[in-house]
Amino acid sequence: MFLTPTDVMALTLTLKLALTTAILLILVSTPLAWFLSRWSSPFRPLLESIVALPLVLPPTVLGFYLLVFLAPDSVLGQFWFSLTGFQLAFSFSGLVIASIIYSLPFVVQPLQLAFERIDKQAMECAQMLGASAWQRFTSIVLPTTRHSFLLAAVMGFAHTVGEFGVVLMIGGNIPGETQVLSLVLYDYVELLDYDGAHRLAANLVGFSIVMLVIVYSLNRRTVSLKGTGQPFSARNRESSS
Amino acid sequence: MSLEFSFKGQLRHEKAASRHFDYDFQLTVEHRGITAFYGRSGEGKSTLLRLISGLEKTQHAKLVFHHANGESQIWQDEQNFVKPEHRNIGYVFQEGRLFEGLTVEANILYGVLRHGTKGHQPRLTWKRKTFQNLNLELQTVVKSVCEGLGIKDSWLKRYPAQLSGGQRQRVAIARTLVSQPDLLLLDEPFSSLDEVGKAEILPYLSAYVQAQKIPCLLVSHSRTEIESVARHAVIIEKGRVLAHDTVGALLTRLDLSLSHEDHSTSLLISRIEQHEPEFSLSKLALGQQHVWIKQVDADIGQEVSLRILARDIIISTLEPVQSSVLNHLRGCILEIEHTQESRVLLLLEVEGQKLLARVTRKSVLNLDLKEGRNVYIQFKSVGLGSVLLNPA
Repeated sequence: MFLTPTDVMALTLTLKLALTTAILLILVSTPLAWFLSRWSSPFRPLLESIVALPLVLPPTVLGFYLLVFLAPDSVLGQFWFSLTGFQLAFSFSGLVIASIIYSLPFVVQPLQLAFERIDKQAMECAQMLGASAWQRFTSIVLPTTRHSFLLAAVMGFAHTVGEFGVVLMIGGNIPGETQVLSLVLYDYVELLDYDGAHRLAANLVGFSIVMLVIVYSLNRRTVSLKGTGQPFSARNRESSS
Repeated sequence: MSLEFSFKGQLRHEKAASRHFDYDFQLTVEHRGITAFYGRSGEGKSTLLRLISGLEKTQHAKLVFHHANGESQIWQDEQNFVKPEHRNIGYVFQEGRLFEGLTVEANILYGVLRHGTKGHQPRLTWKRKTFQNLNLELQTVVKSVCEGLGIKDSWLKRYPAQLSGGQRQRVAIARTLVSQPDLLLLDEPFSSLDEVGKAEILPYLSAYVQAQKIPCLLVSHSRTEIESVARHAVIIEKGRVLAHDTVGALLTRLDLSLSHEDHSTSLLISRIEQHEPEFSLSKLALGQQHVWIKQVDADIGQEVSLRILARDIIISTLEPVQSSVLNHLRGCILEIEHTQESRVLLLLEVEGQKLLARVTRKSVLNLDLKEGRNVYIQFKSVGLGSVLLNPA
């Protein structure tokens, strides 16, 4: 089960990509999910559909459009080039942007659900006790939704690790820059190197199982913590004494 | 301090579309004791509190708060809107709304640490949120409020789920009072308290509001609560102010439904003259006349209001002698209700104060009761209303 230098490079790159994407996704998705949970407008389903689009689109379709939008002669590509001197397509930055869009629904949806469940009465109460919007967010929202945040981050991370179609379209398979694990595996199979493919695939399966166990155990905890917060048994015991 | 407001808008009921109606509230509330909003449920009382707090908005609104130093602050008008969290309002909600994830102690301190109370900014950002970490002045405030509301030290480390409904409500009230609000809004705050709890908390709240000299608005559907704690009352019907006066005056107005309810009551303001410990009684002066009640824990000379149920009163035309009923007062009939029911209401005057009595129509005929006639008024049970602080 020894990994070759190519494998290790791809593994490091994959983890770096997934971590960067997960962190940026949380930053992007928190305001977006908050807005979606509070927005009452006939256009809300439209915005929700756009966020959910990567769930149903074949990754190659998404990758194709991203390639068009990030290409060096596109508006975004030229803007990025004038800003950094690098091009977006076939670069790590381009991969991060693509991954963010690709994994967006996996992060926005759990957060939006959690925000919709927030006790509005407690928020009003905090407001009347002088808490500003930010203080309400840190003292009420964050503590009650921290499991959903963790869940969302893990989902975003895991989903980025597992992507293939999008990175194939936009990444260009450059070792150390855009060659992630799933692409290396694809190459092994193309070259009929089944030993290498087995090695890498087994590692990915093990990794995925670990991630999923984390996700599901977190999921269970959020559900059990979701209760009304008024255990009647405890109250009855208290009042009868 | 006083609050001046006018609100116009439409009240929407989520469930019954037929109950939508326009509201038009206009009122000035002074800081003299608790002012109660009385009305049936769905008449817009809670909406009014939400409008004042700013949690609910309406376009046609004017809301001005006059501070004790003469400064006026516009909370809402056509151009301005002060955010609810910047109004320094204490709002006690019906359900208590404690933060389930915080201990009782942290719940109580939540507001203290955020309301920048006049001049000092008592923040405890990184320190542990305990009473000991507050400055001395605030510690005194917190301790006296907790003591007054009967919050025991043993509750402080518990979580709200481990408290009974009544205990939770005490914590909720304490959390609001320690933040030292300029205006207190109470929305059915006593509904989860039992009679003992109410008897402990109502006098404290009433005294607190008078001592702090802040306006306090209480929404309640319980007339007993209002009679025992409020000085003034506003009767709300269909989103409009029907009447605004002292509670005593409203109770005895025959044109309002309050006086016709089964538990119609009058309040008599009297002064404690002496205590008679050998009989466990207190003697109260009502003008030139006297009333004895079960001994109360109040100082000589203090004013208290007495609650007397209209149906508990016995009217006689001769001075009662050799009766076990201790209390009898002389009074004069002001008005007799015209009705064909079996029982009628009498409006009496005793030492310049109004009193309601309910007697049968047959007795009115038998005793030949007429407006202007002097009668003797006997009553057996007397409830103690709010203990009023003497104007210093």
